[in-house]
Amino acid sequence: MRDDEEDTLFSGRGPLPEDLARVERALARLPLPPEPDWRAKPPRERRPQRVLWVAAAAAAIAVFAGVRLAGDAWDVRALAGSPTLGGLAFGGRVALGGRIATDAHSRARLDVKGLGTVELEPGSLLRRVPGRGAERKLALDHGTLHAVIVAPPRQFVVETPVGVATDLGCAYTLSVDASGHGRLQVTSGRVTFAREGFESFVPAGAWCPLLPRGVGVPRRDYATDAFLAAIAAWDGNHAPAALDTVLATAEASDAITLWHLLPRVGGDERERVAARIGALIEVPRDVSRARVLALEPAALDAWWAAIGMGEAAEWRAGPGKKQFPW
Amino acid sequence: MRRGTCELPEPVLPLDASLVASARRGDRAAFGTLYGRHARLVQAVLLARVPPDHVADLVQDVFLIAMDRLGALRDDSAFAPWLATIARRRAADWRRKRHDTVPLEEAMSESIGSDPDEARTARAAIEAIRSLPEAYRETLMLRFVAGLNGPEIAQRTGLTHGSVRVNLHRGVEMLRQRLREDESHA
Repeated sequence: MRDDEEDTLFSGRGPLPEDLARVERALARLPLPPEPDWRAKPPRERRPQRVLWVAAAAAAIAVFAGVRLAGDAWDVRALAGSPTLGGLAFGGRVALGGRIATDAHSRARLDVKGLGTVELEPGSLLRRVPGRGAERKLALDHGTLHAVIVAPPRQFVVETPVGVATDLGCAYTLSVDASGHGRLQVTSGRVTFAREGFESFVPAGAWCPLLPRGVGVPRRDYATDAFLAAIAAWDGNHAPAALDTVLATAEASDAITLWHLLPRVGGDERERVAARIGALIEVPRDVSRARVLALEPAALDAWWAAIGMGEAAEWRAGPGKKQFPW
Repeated sequence: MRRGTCELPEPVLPLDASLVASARRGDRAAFGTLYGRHARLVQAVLLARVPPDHVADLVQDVFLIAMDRLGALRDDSAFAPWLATIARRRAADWRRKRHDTVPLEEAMSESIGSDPDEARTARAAIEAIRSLPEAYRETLMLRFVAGLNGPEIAQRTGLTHGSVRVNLHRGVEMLRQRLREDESHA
């Protein structure tokens, strides 16, 4: 086997030699068994004892982590007015469990130790909350923050009432109000926004609305007015007619938006979205549309890579810390 | 499907961890989504070990076992490798309880797609892959049936990238040889 064939076989990128492509086509189309009716299967009895042990262990870990992290306080500076500190905050510094509030006339800057800065606009409430491992995490309950982060990807995380923004090395503005409406605007680098296990990839030059039930699909700042109006209409009511307009006005560079629509729509609508993506950009020929329509992770990732915004694995692991290092 | 203003029906790209958490709380639709995302993975793992006509039943078995044991999964994001392990064990159980004596041609008659050329290719490829040493079988099935690339195979099997690369290289060489032999015999 030639080296380039071996690389293609391993990486999954590029066309396979014809004999292997034929095998792949045939095997990828093997019929799957019909999906069982999962609702017909009774739920298994819960085991409360185990849950209690897990909860007790988690509480012990949380207390231990809390004690350790209390000494790691971040500097806060007033940029305007008189921001107030609360919770675990002292001497102009905020520790894990502390909070910063700005009123209608005050602004504040938070030095995220070793990672960058966060500026808080008037009318905001920001808390320091525990992250996982080396992760530094804030919770924006309401208001607006501007983050400029120079740390390695995935170390700076901001949670909001409607989802979690994870920095991949970038600058962005995040706003959310008490009703759960807001906006994530990325000005450089990349941010992922996730809610209850679903994620959006938002590159520089794109933004997405935050809505009470989650994050809207990302869209380019410089998409056509017609497309932006269409996708905004779809955000609002998910009417089939709105989707028609979205698909009709989409350009190739709007494939990023359409790709995010795939898991949000079902049946015929998903087929139409997939068909439109296939018409706008060159999608991998060795990934069947049926697999994309079934939302198979590998197939969706392959289509994402075809959009030209980097590998999905990079978005999950961060560009500086590739999951696949070759 | 119409919804109220400013509401989203479904968020974007589901992650296994959240789907697993939802499924554990009794959300059957979330489990159905997990099925859609990973049925090919399970099918590939099983095809490497049991005759094709038994794979459909076993795929469903594996997911039913997984549904029952979701509480035992420690890392929700590791659902796929965990599922692959269940599939391997289920295949081993099946083999222990039943000798693998079903003639392959018969066994595959109903489990291959309807296009005659494609069915012939699929039949020959499955037969050839199943005749390879065990180390190569699953890697090739994951590559060609589940459509995973090398790193994804490594993540789901626990093999190193180097091992996957070697398995793919050597496995494909042997697969090609077997297919050539089949053609010459035909």
